[in-house]
Amino acid sequence: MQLKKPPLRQALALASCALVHGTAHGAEGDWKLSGALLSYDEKDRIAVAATTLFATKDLGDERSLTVRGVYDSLSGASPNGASATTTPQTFTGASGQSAYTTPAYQLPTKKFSDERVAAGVDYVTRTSPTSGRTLSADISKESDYLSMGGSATWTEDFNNKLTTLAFGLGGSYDTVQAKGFPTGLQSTSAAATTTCASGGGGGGGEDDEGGGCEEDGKIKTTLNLLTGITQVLSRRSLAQLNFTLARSDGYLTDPYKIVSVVDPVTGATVDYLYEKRPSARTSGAVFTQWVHNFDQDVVHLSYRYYRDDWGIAANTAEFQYRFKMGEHLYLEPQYRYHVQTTADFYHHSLTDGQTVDFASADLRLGAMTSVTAGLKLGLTIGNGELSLRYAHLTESGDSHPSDAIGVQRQVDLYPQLDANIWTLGFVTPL
Amino acid sequence: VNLAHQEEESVSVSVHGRAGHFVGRFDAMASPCELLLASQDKALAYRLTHLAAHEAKRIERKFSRYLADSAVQRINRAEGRPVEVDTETANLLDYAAHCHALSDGRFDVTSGVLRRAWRFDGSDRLPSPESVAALLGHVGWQRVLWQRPWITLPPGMEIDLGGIGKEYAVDSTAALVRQHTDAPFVLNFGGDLYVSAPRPEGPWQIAVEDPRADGAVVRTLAINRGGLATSGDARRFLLKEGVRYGHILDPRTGWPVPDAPRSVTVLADTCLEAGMLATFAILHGAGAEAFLREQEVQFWIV
Repeated sequence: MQLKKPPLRQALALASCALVHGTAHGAEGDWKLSGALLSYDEKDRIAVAATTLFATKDLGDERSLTVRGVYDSLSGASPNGASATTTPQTFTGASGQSAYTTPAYQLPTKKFSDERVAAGVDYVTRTSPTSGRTLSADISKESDYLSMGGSATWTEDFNNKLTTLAFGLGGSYDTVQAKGFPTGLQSTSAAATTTCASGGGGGGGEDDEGGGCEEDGKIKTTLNLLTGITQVLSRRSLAQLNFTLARSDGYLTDPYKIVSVVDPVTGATVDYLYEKRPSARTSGAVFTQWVHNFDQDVVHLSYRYYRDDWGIAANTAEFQYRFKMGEHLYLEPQYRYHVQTTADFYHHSLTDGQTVDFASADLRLGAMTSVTAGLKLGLTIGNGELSLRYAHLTESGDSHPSDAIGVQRQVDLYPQLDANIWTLGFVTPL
Repeated sequence: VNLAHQEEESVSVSVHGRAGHFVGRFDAMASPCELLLASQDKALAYRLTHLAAHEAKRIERKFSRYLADSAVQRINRAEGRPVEVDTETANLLDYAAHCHALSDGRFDVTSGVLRRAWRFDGSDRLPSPESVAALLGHVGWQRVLWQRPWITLPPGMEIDLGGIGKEYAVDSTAALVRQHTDAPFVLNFGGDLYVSAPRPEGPWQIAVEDPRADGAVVRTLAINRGGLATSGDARRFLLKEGVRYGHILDPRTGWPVPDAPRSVTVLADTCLEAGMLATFAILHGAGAEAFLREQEVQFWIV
């Protein structure tokens, strides 16, 4: 090759070289980054600041690698499970945790702060012109919780790539490392006076009787199955239908949550029990989604039906409409409506003397309606995007259930949750 | 059920032994194609011919103007809307943009629209100046909004990567073959070809059958390495009142470049470079030869 070529040839040679070697087989692309800063702020309860970062690299030959990282910082006051009553309530935790008092008529919450770090990788390959495979691995760590998971998804295109079938299999192995595991349905006052014998429980599950708490880590395993079909309906429309099945086994109880025990006549709180949930949960869901592209605008409609053997049935509908405003700007109102029935063992409180196999007062297991309304403003530049989203979430349940007794009728047994959510997102290249 | 291969076209390939090398043949891009491999390994020759045939077919399908699901058709049918393209298509469009700039607008992938007025069938039927002028409004890369990876064509405009496609296919397929063997080879897609390295006994003797020249002109060229490409087609022209109108159109006027050579063959480092220099040369009309001399390349003008 000549060292110095005429300028035009030199320019053509460079461009030709960039074309062939910039594309060809096995050519690697640049890392594509996307991420978001999220602020989730519940009124009087929990605040979460989350940072997520995704980095995707095209490895060529239709393979790509995505690395995901999440850092969450959680703080605030989390409902401890006890219901509000007409007098101040004082709580002492197991293992000598410091006591705290909740004023009368207020939902008892416990101050906490935690951090969560999560990371994952996805490796996407095409195993033939019409079949793809995604392998994922995930790890997530909180101060007392470690989750490790993996999944594999296979896709197969049919019908000139208008139809895609997907099949996925996933699993996770979680370890709860709480400061002692209280025995479910045992009084918190009994637990506080019981010495936690180290190594005593042996992680034998929640049917263990005896000691007030156990110190070994508890295990939770989850298995997920997914099958789905995506159909291109027209040049502008796409529909999707997914079925998922999930099974969790092991320690599904929240070791920090309690249930109030009230006097069957006056409704006054007389004791607190540690909550206890079944050691298995099987759930199934159907998800369907329709996306339509108008000339400029895009509409997303989705509906999900969920059912599990804890007794929860949930319906979720979601609607998004993207208004294109000029070449680079879009505005997207979003609305989500979720309604669910209560778990069989959800009790806002138990009455003294009532015998149950399981009980939890976790508001998320109760019947409730949740509404999220938001607005997203996005700026697209080439393949990049900058977006800001604000959403307001409310979760409300039966504040004055018909089974409230005595003084319970004067308090709110399902205080409404209000949260403000801000998300700042970006996708490179901008 | 494995339907993985339902979309793959079967490519028929043949391999024959020659003195010191194997010749693999297949058809792609409306041309006879061949891979000459200086190796004693017939299985390798067979495998690489298959690989080359599939790569050629892949590129042909992807950039075809005729297949409804090709990348080019997606762009041409967008009716004024932006289309996001994949990396390979984006690289080709970048290249097309470069070539447009380097040729001062003479090379233009949007000029295919002019074919609606021009039909080079050897007759004397010239289009009316009005019909050509009407089409010129739909020609011009400068009207295209190209912000990688988004391309927006004004309605009525089209792109045609045919002027780059075959040369790109040769270089791209050659790069793929090179990943699989160190043996010297020649990859020839209907006269546009790439030579990777000389054989142990010396340069490749390449007989270039030029179907574009009048009669069966055959040249034997001794080539050590590089890309060879031919631009122009001596059989496609119009003749009126003694004036010959060749089929290479100047996108800036909509009319054939006056006094252009019928066909130009260039030997350069790559097939893309050779092909583009040959095309630029023809677009220089009577100045073709002077242009090529400045470029310090080997060339043959008909």
